[in-house]
Amino acid sequence: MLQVEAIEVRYDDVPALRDVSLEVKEGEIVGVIGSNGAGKTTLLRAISGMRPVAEGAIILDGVPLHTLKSHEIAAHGVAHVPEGRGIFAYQTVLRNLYLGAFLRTKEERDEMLDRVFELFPRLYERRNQQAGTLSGGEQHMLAIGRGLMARPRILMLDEPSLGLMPKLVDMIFELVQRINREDGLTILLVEQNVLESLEVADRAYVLETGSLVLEGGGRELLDDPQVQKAYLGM
Amino acid sequence: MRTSRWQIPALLALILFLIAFPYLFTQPFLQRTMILIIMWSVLGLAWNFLGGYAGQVSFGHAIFFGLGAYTSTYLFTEYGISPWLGMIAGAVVAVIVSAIIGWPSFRLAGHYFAIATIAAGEIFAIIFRNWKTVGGAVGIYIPIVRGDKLIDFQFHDSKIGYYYIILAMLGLAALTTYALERNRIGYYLKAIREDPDAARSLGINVTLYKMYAMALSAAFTAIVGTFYAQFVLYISPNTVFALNISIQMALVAILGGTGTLAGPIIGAAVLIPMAEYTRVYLGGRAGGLHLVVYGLLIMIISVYQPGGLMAIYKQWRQKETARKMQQVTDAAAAGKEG
Repeated sequence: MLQVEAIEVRYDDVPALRDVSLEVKEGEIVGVIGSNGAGKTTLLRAISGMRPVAEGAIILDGVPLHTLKSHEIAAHGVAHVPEGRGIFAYQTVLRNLYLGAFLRTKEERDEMLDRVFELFPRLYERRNQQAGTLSGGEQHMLAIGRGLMARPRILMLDEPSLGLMPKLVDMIFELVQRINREDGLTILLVEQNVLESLEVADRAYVLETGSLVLEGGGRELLDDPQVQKAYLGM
Repeated sequence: MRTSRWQIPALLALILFLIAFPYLFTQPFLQRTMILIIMWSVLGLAWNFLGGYAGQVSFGHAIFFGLGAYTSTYLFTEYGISPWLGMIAGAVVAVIVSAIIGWPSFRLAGHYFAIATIAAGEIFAIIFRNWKTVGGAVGIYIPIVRGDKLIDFQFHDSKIGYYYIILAMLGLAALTTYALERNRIGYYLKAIREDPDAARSLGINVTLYKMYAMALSAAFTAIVGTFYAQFVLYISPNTVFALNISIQMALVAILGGTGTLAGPIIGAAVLIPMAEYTRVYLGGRAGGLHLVVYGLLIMIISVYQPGGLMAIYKQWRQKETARKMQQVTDAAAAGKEG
């Protein structure tokens, strides 16, 4: 479904990603793990068109995304839930969700809204509150919910567990799995939380200073001595 | 914004007061000051469409003001076309120019956009200073038409005609702002202002919506430009394409509170009388004193409350609500205990 083919992304001539290739198949949860500064966020920004791709190609079902602008990429069914949530703090929860459905008809929007409120009952309770007044965990839920409102073909999550307490982290990962199973949504997940993300991912890639160093099934990587030593402290 | 019990009666009272004003206060100076307050309210609201809702700070709006003034004036003096038609033509010209300026400059982020608009404003001032067909640096005098008929857009016996025209423009600008706040386009613009990247990733064509906001902003500014030309009956590059105009438009909106309906109106109501009175009382001795005061105001707003007077009011009201709720809970707690 999504192919990233040998891309290079640079910040002022300094490459942040070198020769990165990966694939996401329909219906999969694919994880990209790596430490701070490995280039995980850059990868998602390149896919969603917020960072120009210097070399290589990004293809979604035959459409070359790297030649398109951000809003056009969104229209092709790519939803990017940015790191640090990127919600609209001065608008209500409901308005944030409506904004997520920018590309959808009113019927599709209302249908999806029911689903989002079913997944996140807390958002329903707080629908008329300003988004900036939500707790950290609720803001994460809102960001994911807003991503779902676009009815994307692929949902890209940038560190959905960042800065959350362990109980909420578990909850977010459970939800990611639920969305994948119940709605059949393809998910590309970028995480520093290696243990949890490898548990939910069908397949995963390990990114180190701008290059992919390992790939394999989620469970497989969990058992990999290299991963255990570098990321799990075993 | 939520409406409280007294807001609607207060608004109706304000509207009635504005309608009755020229009959309550007949001194020409007061009427002139009120016309200027309303004129700058409309300009502040016009600037607010782009600067407030879309978050694109422009210091080049004199371009649209000047284009409105010059288009209607040129069409009237050369071809005898009614300034009312000229006003519409001016708005169309301003919208076209806004697209030409907006298309390249919306690629620039933050401060660079503001700088680009200053440069664009100066380019227009220079062009019009050297353009002989439209009077060059001397400008154009508008021939006086006696009779004070609405169709002529000129009033000499009393300023009341001008007053009601600009009041109607204020009504139009306020209604447009009100509609924008409740329309999806208003929400898209606010989303773009808060986080352009997030807006883009939701599929919003950020550049296109900024251009819509700028077109709306330019059209209203141009309409007021025509009004100004007809009010003063003389225009020149140094008066209508001046950087001063651009800055004052921004200041009116920023002082009152950007991204709100009441903000630019409050900003004009505070700023314009101050400018007028310092001009009248200190005029000869301390010309430009009001500019010093503007500078101070900008500093105070940016340090103390970047949200402007409206934000100060909202803060106060939130505190007041919290205090009242505390009273209620205290009373309930006391009731339980007793």
